[in-house]
Amino acid sequence: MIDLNERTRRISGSRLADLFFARDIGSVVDPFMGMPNHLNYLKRHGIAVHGGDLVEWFVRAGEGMIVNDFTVLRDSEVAEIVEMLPGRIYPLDLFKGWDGVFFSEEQCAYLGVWHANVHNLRSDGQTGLAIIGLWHVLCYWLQKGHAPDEMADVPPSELAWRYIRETERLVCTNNARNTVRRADFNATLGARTADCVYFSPPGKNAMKKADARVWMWEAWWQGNPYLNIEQYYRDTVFGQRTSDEGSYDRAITSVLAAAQPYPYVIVQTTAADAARFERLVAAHRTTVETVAPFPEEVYVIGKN
Amino acid sequence: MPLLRSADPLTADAVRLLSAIGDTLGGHGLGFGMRVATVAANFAVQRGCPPEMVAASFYAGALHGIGAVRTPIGIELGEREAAIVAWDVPVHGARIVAAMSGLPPATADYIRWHRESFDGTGYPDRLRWNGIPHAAMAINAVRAFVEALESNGDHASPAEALFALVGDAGKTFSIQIVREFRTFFAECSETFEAPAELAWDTAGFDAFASVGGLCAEIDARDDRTHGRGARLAPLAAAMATAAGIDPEHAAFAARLTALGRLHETVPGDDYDPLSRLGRDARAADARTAERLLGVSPTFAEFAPALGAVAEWFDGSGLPQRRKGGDIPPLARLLAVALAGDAMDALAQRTVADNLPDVPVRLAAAGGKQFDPAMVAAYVAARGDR
Repeated sequence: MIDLNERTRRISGSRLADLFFARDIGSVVDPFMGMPNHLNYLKRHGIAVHGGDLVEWFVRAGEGMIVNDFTVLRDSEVAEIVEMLPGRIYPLDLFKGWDGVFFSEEQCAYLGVWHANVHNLRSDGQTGLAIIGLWHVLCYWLQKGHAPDEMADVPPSELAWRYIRETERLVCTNNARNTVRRADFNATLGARTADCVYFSPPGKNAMKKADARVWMWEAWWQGNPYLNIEQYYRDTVFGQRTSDEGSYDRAITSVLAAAQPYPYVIVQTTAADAARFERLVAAHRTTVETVAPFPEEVYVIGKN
Repeated sequence: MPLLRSADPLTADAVRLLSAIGDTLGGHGLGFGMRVATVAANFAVQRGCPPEMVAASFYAGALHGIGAVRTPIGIELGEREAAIVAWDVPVHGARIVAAMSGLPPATADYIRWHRESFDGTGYPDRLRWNGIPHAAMAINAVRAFVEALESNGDHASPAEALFALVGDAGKTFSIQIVREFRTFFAECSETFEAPAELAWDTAGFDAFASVGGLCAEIDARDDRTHGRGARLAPLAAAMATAAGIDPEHAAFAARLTALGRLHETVPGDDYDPLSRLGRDARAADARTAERLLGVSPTFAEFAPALGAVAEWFDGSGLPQRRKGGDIPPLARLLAVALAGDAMDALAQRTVADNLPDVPVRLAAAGGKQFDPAMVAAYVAARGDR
C-alpha cells in the first residue's frame, strides 16, 4: 500500500485574495503553481493570473481552469470520456504495471481507457477539465486502498462522471488574458509581467518526496507507469543537491532574483522557516512584512 | 461531558442573534447555527482540543452561515452561477467575523474553510487532504450531521443522521474525522447537545457594534436600503428625544429594522410607503425582525416594537391591527422614520416630481397611518438635519 501521509501545503486563493486586495495587486505570476486551484480562485475574483510548472498535468489542469474561459464538458462529452467507445482500440494493458500493486485489474483497465479518451479530446480546456476530474478518481481509489471498509464502493464510471461534471464550476472568465506554461521559474517569470510574484517554494529535496497522487497522475498522463518525475527537475536549481542549507538558500535566491522586476513578491512558508525567508527576501526588497494567520501558513511579503 | 467556563451573557446573546441571521439566510430553522456550535464545541472537547480551539469551534459553528448576507439579491442566477456565488459565502463570513474583535482568532478561518472537502472538491479554495484545518472539517461534519438530523423533522434519528457523514467518508470528510465523530457519537450521544460553556474571554467583543454592523450589511444588499440604518439612527435619536423615548435605544432599534429584510425579494418597497398595497409585505418584514430578535434575551426587548412597525395608528395596519396607544411608542416612531426614508429613496429613483414634499405627505397621513405626535417629531428632526 502506498503512503499517503504527505503534508499538504495549504495554498488558499481566498487568503491570497485578501492579501492582494489590501495591496491593490491586480495580477500575479506563480512559477511553482502545482494544482492551480488558488489561481482559479483569484481568476474568479478578477485578478489576472499566470502560472508555470514542470509537471505537465498541472499545466494541462491550468489549461482547463485558468486559460479556459468558456468551454465546459457537456453530459455527452463526459460520457465519451468515462466509458469505452465502440470501434476504438484501447490500450487496456498500458497500466498493467500498477495492477495488484496500487489498483485492481478493472481500475487499471479504466485508467487505460481514460488515458486514450482524454488524449483524443480536441479542446485544451476540455482536456484540462477531464484531467482534473479523473485525478480525483485516482485519489479516491488510493484513499480507499487505505480504508476499504470505510469508503463507499462507487463504480469507476460513476465516480469519474461525478468528478468530471463537478469541474464545470471551475470555468469562468475575468476579462483578462491568463496563461500557464510548462517551464521552469526563470522562463515563467521572464515571459510575463505582473504586479506580484507569489510562490510556495518546493521543500528541500521535494521532488524525491513528491506525493504519489501527483507523480502517479503525471505517469498516467504520459502513459508510462514507471515514469519518475524527478527527471523533470534534474537540470533546475531545485534539482541539484538542495538538502544542505546553503544550496537550498541559493536556489531560493535565484527565484527571488528572477522576481526582482515585479513590484511585490510573496513567499508562502511556515512559522518554522519564516525567519529564513524573511532574511532571503530582505536581501532583495526594501520592505518586508510577515503575515502569519497560522503556524503552517505564513506569508513573507517583499515590496520594492 | 466536561463543561467549560462561561462566556458573558451579552456576547452570548449577540452571537445567538447573529447566528439566527445566518440560519435565516441559509434557509434553516432558527437555532440551527447554535445547535451546530454546541455540538462542535462538545466534539472539540471530546477530541481533547485546547480551550481556544473549543471556543473558536463554537463561534465558528454559530456564525458559519452569516457570509450569505453578502450574496447579491434580486438577480436571476442559473444553477451553475448560483453554485459559484455560494462558493464565496464562507469567505464573506470569514471577513465579517475577522472584523469583529474579541472572538478567538482562528474563528474566521474555521468559517472560511468549513465547506472544504477532503477530496479537494469543496469551496472556496478547493483545499484538500490535510491542507484543511482539522477543526474546520470537524465543524463541517457537525454541520452535516445537524442538517441531516433536522431534515428528518419530528422523526429525527441521530443514528440515521450519522450516515450522512459515514457515507461521505473519503469524499467530503476525512476518514479520521469520521472515525472521531463516530467515537464522539458513541460516547456522548446522550449529551452532545449539552450546553457548551467557553473558557474564552470575550471582553473585547462589542455586541452592539457587531449586530449593528451585520444589520448594515443587510441594508447594503439592496440599493433601496443601502445605508438606511446609518441614516435612520440619528434621526430616530432626535425624534426619540422629542417623544420622551431613550434616544440610544431608538437609534439602535433603527439599525435593527434591517432584520426584516432577510429575504431575496422585497416587494413591499415597490409600493409607496403610504400605500396599503405594501402592507402585507411590510408586516411580513416586521414579523421576521420580531422573530429573530426573540431568540436573544438581550435583544428581545426590541422585538415588540420592531414587530409593530407596520401597524397603522387607526387600527387598520398589520399584523395585529393594533390601534393608537396599543402600538409601542418606538414602533410608532420607527414607522414614520421608515416611511420617510422610503419616500426619500423613492423620490431619488423616480422622475415623478408632482408629489408633495415628504413632510407634507407624512403629515397628511397623521392620525390614520401614523401617530401625529411622531410625525411632528419627525418633521422637527428632519429640519434639524
